[in-house]
Amino acid sequence: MNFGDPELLEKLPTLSREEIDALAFGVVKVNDTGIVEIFNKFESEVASIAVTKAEGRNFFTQIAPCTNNRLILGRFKEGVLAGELDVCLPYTFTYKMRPTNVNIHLYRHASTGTNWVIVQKR
Amino acid sequence: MRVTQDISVDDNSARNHGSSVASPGWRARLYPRFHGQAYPLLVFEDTIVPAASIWAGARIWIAAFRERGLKSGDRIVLALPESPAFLFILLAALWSELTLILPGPTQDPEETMELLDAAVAVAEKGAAATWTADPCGLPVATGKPVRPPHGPATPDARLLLSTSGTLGAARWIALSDENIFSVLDSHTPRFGLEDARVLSVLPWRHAFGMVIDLLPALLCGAEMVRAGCGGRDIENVRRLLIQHDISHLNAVPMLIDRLSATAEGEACVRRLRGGVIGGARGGASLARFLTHTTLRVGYGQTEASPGIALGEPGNWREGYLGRPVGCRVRLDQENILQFSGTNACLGEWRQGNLVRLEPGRWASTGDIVRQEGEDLTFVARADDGFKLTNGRYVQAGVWENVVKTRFPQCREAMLFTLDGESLQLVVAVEPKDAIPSLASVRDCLGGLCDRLTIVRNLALAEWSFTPKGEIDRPSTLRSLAPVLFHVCPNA
Repeated sequence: MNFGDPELLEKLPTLSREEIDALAFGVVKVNDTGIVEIFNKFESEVASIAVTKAEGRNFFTQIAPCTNNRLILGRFKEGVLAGELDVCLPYTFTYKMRPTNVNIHLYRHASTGTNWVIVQKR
Repeated sequence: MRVTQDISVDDNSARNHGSSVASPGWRARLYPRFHGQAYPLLVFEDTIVPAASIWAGARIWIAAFRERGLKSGDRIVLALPESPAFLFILLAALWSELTLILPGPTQDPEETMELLDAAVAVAEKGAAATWTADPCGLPVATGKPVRPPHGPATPDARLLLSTSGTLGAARWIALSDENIFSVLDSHTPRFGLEDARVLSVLPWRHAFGMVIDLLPALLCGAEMVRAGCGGRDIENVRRLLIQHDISHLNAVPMLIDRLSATAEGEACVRRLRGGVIGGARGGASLARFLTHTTLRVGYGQTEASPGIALGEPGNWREGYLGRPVGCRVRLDQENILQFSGTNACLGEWRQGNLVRLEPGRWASTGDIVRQEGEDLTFVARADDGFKLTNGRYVQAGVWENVVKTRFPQCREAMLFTLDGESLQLVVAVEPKDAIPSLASVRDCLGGLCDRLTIVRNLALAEWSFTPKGEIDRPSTLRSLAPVLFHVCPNA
């Protein structure tokens, strides 16, 4: 399954933990306040953050505080409030102390009300 | 001679360049602002870069500088466009106390490196580059060795900026940390950049773009959106103003003129919360429009780092330059504005060396200015004048200003001589049949009245202007060639 695969977004809530860990890009499931519920293996490895340290903490303020801004957290909050979120942004994350160009997809699955942050290196 | 001083300037600090600087240095300013932070947030067309990533990129460049043995005061040419890599290198150079040389797009990086005796050039791929930047903005060594400089390091010079200057040919001006901090500390608090969203259209290689636009936004933790083609693509500027709900815009008058040509663009400018308009002079109609905005005039030049004066938001009239900020000003006997303070540049690169200028000096701006209280109003450029054969110097700009004030229908005026004896005046009038009579113009030319022989009209479209908005006198004169039979076509 690819980052840009339209089926991915629909299937995300139905994927098992193992299936999400097998994806070749970062997938983070967060609740409406930004608390990480799933931090997949790929994201854990590129960010050098253990899954156990990430899950249960706030993605936007504790795991990736550089996203605590209008364009990422702001849009996430707006999307959660509106019940609709499907935003792609080119971004420069810091992975292992190096700026890294990524695409970030903020997505809210309407029928399950789950929120996903999908990250792929460019 | 009257001296006007910004009341926030300590007299002692204004006089003594070498005195200890109380304000924090780069490291104290940069680390808490960038390390692990979400803001400042830089929005480019192809990526969004938060402070934490700018910091990470800067650290990698700092390491690269160290690996190549660069030390404080070594000179480095940064010939990249406005980009994440530009920011990484800027911060790395400030942190490492290098002297950063910022050439223009038409200045060859290799020639610049030789001219300014630099050790390294970071450029887009080319023969000159010691390094180039990868798509993430990180260093890629080209294999070219560091160039051993012939002269001494310049640890007291932080920036070397090229200026076409208002004083003549292109020159390289050296700014010290103290110069830059002087303007940052005196100007930035007035900009209201809290929670600001700044649209960046100015070139960062210019003093205006670097010290008034970029650095304040970065150090205030603003969100800054970079317009891909600078201010050249006016449609793009308008789109970005709307799309990002921009609060601040620093620009030259021409950009505001072009923006306000449409109702939508005019509305965008009126919505702005702040910004500095400077770098050139605008006309009376622009000044009228700007009185209905929160934009303010900014006046300075590279030699002043580049801040001399600021107006209050919405306080505009033609030629208004604002009030001195962070320095002292006075007029010399020719009414040419001078300034003194820690904003006065460290020195100038001349013939392979940094020539340091006297701290605390009174530096001439070359602008003839009228002073009313603290308010400064531009009258003319001192070097717009010419000599008659009898040795009398004619301050053409001053007289042109007199004519434009006396006859408001004259949008432009240019006084010149072809034979060194008689004077001719060419004007651009609106409406086009409102040319003032020879007799009425003579009446306002004082002792020169008898020398004026003719007043001609030249449609505004036929006039030529410099990028700074000043009359390009030789080119405009060439436009008159068909009616001036004794003008050499190549004059």
